[in-house]
Amino acid sequence: MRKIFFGICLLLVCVPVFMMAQVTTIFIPELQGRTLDGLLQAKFNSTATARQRASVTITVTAASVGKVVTVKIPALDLQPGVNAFPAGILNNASLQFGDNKIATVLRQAGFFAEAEYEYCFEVTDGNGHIGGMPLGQQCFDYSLKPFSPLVLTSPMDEDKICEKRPNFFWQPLLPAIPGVQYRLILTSIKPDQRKAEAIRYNMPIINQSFINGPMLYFPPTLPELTEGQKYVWQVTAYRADMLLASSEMWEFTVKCKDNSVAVTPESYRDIDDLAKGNFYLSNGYIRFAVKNIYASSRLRYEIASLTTPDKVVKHLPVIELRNGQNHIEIDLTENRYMQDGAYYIITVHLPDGSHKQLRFLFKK
Amino acid sequence: MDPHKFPVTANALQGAMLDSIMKKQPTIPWKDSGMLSAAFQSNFHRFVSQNYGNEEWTKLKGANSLMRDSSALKKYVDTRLRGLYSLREGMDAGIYFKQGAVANKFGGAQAGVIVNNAPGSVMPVQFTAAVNDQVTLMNIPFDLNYTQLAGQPWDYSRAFGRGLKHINFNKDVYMERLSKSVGKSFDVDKYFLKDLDVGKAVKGYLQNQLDNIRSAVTQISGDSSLRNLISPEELVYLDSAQIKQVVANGNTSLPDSITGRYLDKLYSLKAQIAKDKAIQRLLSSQHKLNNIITADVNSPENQKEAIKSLLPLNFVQRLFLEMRGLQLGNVTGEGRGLTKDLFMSGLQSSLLSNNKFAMVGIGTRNDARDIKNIGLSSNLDGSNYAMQFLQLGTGDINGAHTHVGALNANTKQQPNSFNMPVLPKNIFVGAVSEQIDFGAYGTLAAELEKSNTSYKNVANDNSGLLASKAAAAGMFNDFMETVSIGLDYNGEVKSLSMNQRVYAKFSGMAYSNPGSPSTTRGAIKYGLKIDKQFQKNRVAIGFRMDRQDTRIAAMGDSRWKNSQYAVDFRMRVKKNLTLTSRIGQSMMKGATDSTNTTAYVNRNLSISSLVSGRLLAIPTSTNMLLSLQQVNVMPVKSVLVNVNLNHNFILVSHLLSFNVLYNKDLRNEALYGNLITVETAYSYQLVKLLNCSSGITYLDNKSVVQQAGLRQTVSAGLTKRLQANLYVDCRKNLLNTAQNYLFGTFTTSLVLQYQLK
Repeated sequence: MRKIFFGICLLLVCVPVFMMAQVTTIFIPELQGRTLDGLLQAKFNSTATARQRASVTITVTAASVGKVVTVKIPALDLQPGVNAFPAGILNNASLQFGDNKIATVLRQAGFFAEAEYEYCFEVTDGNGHIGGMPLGQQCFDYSLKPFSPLVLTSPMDEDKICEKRPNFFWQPLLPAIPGVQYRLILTSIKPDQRKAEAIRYNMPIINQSFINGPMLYFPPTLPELTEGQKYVWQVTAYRADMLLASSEMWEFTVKCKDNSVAVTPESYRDIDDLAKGNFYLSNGYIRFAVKNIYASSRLRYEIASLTTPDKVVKHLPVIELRNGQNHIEIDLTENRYMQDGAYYIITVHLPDGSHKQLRFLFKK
Repeated sequence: MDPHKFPVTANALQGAMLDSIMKKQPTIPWKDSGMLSAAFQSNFHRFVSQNYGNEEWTKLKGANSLMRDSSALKKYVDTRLRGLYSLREGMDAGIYFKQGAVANKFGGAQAGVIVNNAPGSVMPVQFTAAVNDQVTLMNIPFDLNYTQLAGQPWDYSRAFGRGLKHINFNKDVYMERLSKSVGKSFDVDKYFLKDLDVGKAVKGYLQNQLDNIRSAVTQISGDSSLRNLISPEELVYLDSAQIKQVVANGNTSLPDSITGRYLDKLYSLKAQIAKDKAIQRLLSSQHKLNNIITADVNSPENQKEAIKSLLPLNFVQRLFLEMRGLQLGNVTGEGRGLTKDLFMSGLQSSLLSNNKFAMVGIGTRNDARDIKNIGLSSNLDGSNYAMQFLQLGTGDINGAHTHVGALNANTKQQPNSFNMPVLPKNIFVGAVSEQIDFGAYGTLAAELEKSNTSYKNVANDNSGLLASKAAAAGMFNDFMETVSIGLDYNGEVKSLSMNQRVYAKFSGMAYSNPGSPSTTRGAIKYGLKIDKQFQKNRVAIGFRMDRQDTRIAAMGDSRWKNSQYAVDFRMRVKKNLTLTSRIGQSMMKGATDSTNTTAYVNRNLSISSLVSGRLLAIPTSTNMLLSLQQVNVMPVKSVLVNVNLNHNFILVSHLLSFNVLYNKDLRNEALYGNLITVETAYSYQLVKLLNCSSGITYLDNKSVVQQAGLRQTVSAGLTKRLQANLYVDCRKNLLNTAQNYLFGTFTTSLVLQYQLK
């Protein structure tokens, strides 16, 4: 019944009103038609020469289900020129939702699901009471497809990367709307800081706008990122001055140095002490200190296996023995003749003619 | 272990403690009557009233029976007695504790300015200053941070300025402070009776009890021929029949009535012992029990117990002892599903006491004030809310727990929020979250949230009447559309050098939670991540998959399908050579009932190497990355080759580095242009204070921009605590076009840091 009545109204009233419409609606359905709050960002251009009191009724219908929502904003002062709803909470607005699944999603989450929509804006003279003179009515059709989630791609979340000037990639915001651009922010995370805190408290390293495609080269003028430091980044899609979508915040750590080799600084004990103790546990290295009162020469030493005496240990590293105190480190980590868990004996021939022997267990 | 749970042990230890105290004052006689001597009482009085106030002593006297077996009183006396026992000679806990109850410790300051004239820089001039301080009131330490951010936005609109405040109760420092206070006045080892020979004390106590029984029986019977044949060990280890046998064998001449009475008393003492598990282990291995009783004196629980019973804490101090955290100012939500990634100005506090957890938060969220949103004046979605939340249950939120929670949010309009009209609405979210700990096998977290939104002035379609209800009232409306369910398993198998994560999440299309801004809706998300190391970490393989299907139609099957895959391989070929490689794909498809269109593809194959060695006897390290990348953003298709070469020469204490970055689009679709940058830098020490590096840069982004320039850094340790860092990069444009939004010609930053350690 309402629809028929509405139809008659359109026929009888709207056609002449269009011809002498005093108020026209400025509405971008591909952006503002996506959310309930977006509808209220429509603007109204009044051609009247003086301020006038008006009320606005916004009705959204979907081709598949019929009425989705009606928003009534009573008592609005329209100035000559372009008018927007006043910023702030529209306490006097009233809402009426349809009884269908699209309306349920809108009522609960505030966004319009995929459908063919018709957005109608009806501006009436007065305070919205029945009998007000229509000042303008305009409808917009749009086949709406909700935005894809703004998903980051690379560096991946919680990734460890080696590049100190990484490039950033994300998935584009679709469907593509002309004029949509991206912003990217990158900030370091201090120890004990949460991502959401770091991105607000710390001065951004990158805070770049006007990015047209879904990627950003690391800005060449910036200093490179720091080894061992954790970072957080986030992408925002926007159009002109309107925020459309924000991605999740992802973090990554610049970690290039290979940590699989544990570097434990060890002391160098005198070879005499070691020989006396006569047992040594080698973690891949043999370290000892030796004093050489003679001229520099090559250190003569050999290693024999006690576990498998027939196997000869070859390819021992060349060690130079300098005059004075020497800290000797024999690196056996890469020696393929050395077997994990086997016992060996090393014999070191010192330039003074003496030789020292040391038994050791080899553990990688 | 708490000795008062074991009455026999506790009694025995009390006796031993009193003996030890008496030894210090040998003139005061101590009788094993269960009552304290007058002289001891006065000594104890002095200790209690000095440290804990006179009222406590009056209360204690009112009970009028020191050591009488009332368990609450006994517990009280036990802790106080242990306090007296462990009190250091000549110390007064109260006085020391009150000293330094108020303190201030300056934590350092930092200031920096960054200027960057890149055309798309959101803030070409940015300034930051931060001050850290620690204020202690009533011995309760609070960390204070004030950060001021300021800058000039690119469009020369209103200057940006934001002062962020953060007050944080520092629990670690609080516990450390109180423990120090305890340690100064008391010998904590003695408080936990670590120095007592528990075995000897218990044996002595039992022997005493056995003697008492014997003399009592002897008195009644008037016959002194009862022989005490039961030793403390026998009492513990023999069962009742064996005890009877032993008594009967030793006292054949006595009438059964007397041995019977003796046995009854022995049995009752044995029953008392049976309740005391500690005793069972005691006599056999006294050493172990000593360890059990005094296990980890410094464990947080024991620390807390010692603090609670030894220090004269007031109500507020006791409350903060149970408090887990308190944050005020611009704070981050600590929650999982309910308040994940929430940043708000307000308050958040949590308590954890006896494994009972409570968290409460009140604040406002306003996304318009974020640096990333400078210059944006409206938003598609609401992003300014006043909210309150509460989470209750057992277990810590970061560990195994069972919690229920609720969040209530109302739209709000603040002076600095987005400049847009907003419909007033109220959103309520209820949550249940559970985390199970499988120990070595990892953790499983499960959560369920349900939201409901209600608008002010909503008319039902039929009635046309306006109605306004709180969202909480319609908690079960539209259940499937507004529910969010998540499962997340994280684990590690140490023996296999493997860690893994599996997760799945479903959220209804209309789920809405303002407390968790990164929430997705209408999505099914699931993923997998496995990392495994072989050969003692020489080889590592990783795989990860993340998929997200987002429903966008209320009816029908229209979705966005996002997916990402990556396979990683890393191998340490030699000590000085590591190879890594990654194969990855990121894709988005738009799917409807009938079609499935690929809208975005990013495939990537990269190989990199890290080599260190010597080149002409100069130690060098080289890092090389080569990658081939296919990027299709409809309708543009690119195939990119990226080469990144970083070469360092170590010249004694100086470093010469050389860096080339080359990106080329093989298809010349020029989606990203072809970019080459070449940089060299030489690091050196100028005087002892100054570490510098100077370099030359060259950049060519084909037909967009071409630049050459200089780069200089200076790092100066001005004093032990004051550090200054300067960075300057200036370039000259050899070519510049309107498409250039990224490559500026001047970047500089100056950071001053004053650090107190």
